[in-house]
Amino acid sequence: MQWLAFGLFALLAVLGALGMTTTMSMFRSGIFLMASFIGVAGLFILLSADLIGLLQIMMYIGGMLVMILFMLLFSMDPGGAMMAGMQMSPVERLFSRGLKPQGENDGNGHQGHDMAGMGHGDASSSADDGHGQADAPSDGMAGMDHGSMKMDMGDGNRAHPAHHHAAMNHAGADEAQMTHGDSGPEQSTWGADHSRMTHGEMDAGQTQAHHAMPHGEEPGPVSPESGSGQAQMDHSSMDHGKMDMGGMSGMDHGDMQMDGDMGGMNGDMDMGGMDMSMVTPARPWAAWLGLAVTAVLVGLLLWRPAWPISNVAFSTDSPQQIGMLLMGKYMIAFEGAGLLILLGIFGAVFLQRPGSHPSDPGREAYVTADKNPVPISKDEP
Amino acid sequence: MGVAGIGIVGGAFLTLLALCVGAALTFWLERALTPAVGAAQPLTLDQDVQLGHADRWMYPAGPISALFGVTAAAAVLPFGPGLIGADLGIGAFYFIVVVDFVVLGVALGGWGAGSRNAVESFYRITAQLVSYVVPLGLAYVGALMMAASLSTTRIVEAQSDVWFIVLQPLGFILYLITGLMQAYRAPFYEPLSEHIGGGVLSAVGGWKALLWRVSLAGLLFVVAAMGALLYLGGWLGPWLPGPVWMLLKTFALMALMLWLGRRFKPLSTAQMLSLSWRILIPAGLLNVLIVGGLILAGVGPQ
Repeated sequence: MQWLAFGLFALLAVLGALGMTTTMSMFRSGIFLMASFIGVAGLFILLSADLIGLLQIMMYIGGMLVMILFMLLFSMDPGGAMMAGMQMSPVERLFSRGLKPQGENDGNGHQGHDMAGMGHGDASSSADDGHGQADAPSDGMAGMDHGSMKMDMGDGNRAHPAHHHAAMNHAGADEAQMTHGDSGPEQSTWGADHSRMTHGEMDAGQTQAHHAMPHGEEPGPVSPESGSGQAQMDHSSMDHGKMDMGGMSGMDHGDMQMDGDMGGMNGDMDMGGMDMSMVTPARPWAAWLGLAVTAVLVGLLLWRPAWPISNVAFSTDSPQQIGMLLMGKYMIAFEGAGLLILLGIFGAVFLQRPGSHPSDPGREAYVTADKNPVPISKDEP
Repeated sequence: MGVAGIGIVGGAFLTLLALCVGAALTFWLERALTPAVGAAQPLTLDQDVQLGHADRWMYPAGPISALFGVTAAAAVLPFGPGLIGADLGIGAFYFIVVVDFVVLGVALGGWGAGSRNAVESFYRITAQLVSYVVPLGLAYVGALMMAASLSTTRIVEAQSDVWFIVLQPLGFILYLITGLMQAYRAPFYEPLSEHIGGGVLSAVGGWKALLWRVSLAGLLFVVAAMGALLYLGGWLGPWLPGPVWMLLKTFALMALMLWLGRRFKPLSTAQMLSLSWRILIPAGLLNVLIVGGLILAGVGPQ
């Protein structure tokens, strides 16, 4: 029984770590890390250190979720859809399953079943009525799994004729485009802030700027023929810091010429470099290092050196012991730490006060956004 | 195994029974008092939702994780002397920890569903988690200090003379507010609100919808039961047997929480954070200070 539980938790910890390092999706990576730590917490509980185990679970569920949230806000491809088309080792392919390009998943068939009632049209109709929406994942969609771009579902239904230009039309079987016309006037503050944050030199008002980023230097297994797959990111869709990686598709150069005025933006965003970060040449070294550490650990387990073991008896009431220590031996340090935390809280509240930085225009935007919270999807029934 | 095995099986059975009773009570109360969370969507048990963007593993893992959290939390709720799923030494802390699995469930299910509203639901519930954990912990700390234990049964036994609501009304109010936040009920139901179409609830159907409804109903039940334990004396009471008292108190607390939810305007996530860090946390610290003074003055259980 105990060995069974140990095996399960250890397996969870190791598999979680493996998945964390090999998956292409940052969200999955965070979840795998959480699973790994929960496995370690289970091991703690098996060692009858249940307080530490529970502390670990609490820290890592809450903390990891917040961390994932920040990852999503600040990263270009949190869902891993862009990198999923690249060359992967078998392990990576296993843990990135579902992120891979799937032809059968991409048709228009799924749109009718969407219960949330977000009106998807297919490309031919939306190209006409001026919605900033051209959701046409077609068969030849090269290299990119449309089905796993997590945030793409709610294509804005607002009419944005100004943002809708010719390049957005569905032009061929080997390209699939998706734009999000989300930059309603009521969301312009959010969009402006986040665009300033991520693209320093970009004018925030230029909402229809489409960045064309070449990331096809490494030909993926599925798209060898698309010499330069373009990841197109609709600049206007970054409301609430959520960057819809819309329109990632294999496009040919003709389309890049169509929004040629944006061609100059290529060099500004170092997105091509970020894409390739998973394919660093250090990867084999990392794998060997991991194997070596594993070998050492297993060897230690088999060899069992005679380390000195403390003879202190376990107590089931560990919280009380900890409390006694904190209030007795370490009282000065404990009180000092508590005072510091309290000061930190008061300082944070004080600094967070609106109007304490009157010169900062971004602050004003945040304060107004706080006062009038924007319902993000007023347009959806 | 033997006695321990019987104990484990009995504890599990008791936990499930309590959870079933609690969920049924919550459903009934919801229908009587207030529109349920996500009531905009009818419960579509006979038709599943097909999502083109759904993640194959994370999407169904969401409701399972949430229900696991609620069930595991129900294990430490005592309904009478000895009538408890598992009497852990650190029961109250364990309760706080495993309820977090509901947040994890919304994160998994919301992201896995891949629809815009569901992902937004994940964002908001994470922000709400940040806003409620600290004051919730402070609301526990008051009662825990007086009981001088983390075990749920000992917390109840410490209230045999006087309930903690009498000694620390501020802590009880704090628990009410943060409990509503933790249960995602009316003033604080932003992650599942109708502005985003019910959030993660909009993207589920079939057994997943059922599991979500049960876990959200059970969540309110376990949160109210914990409040009854911490501040209302649990199973203690004259004339009636213990479980009846416990259920009565839980039920009254649930009704109070749902009624309170109807009285106030729903808060956005930003307002929730502001409320939490500007008002609730200082109030919680004040409560801890007052309770410390009371203990030093010799008031409360010795």
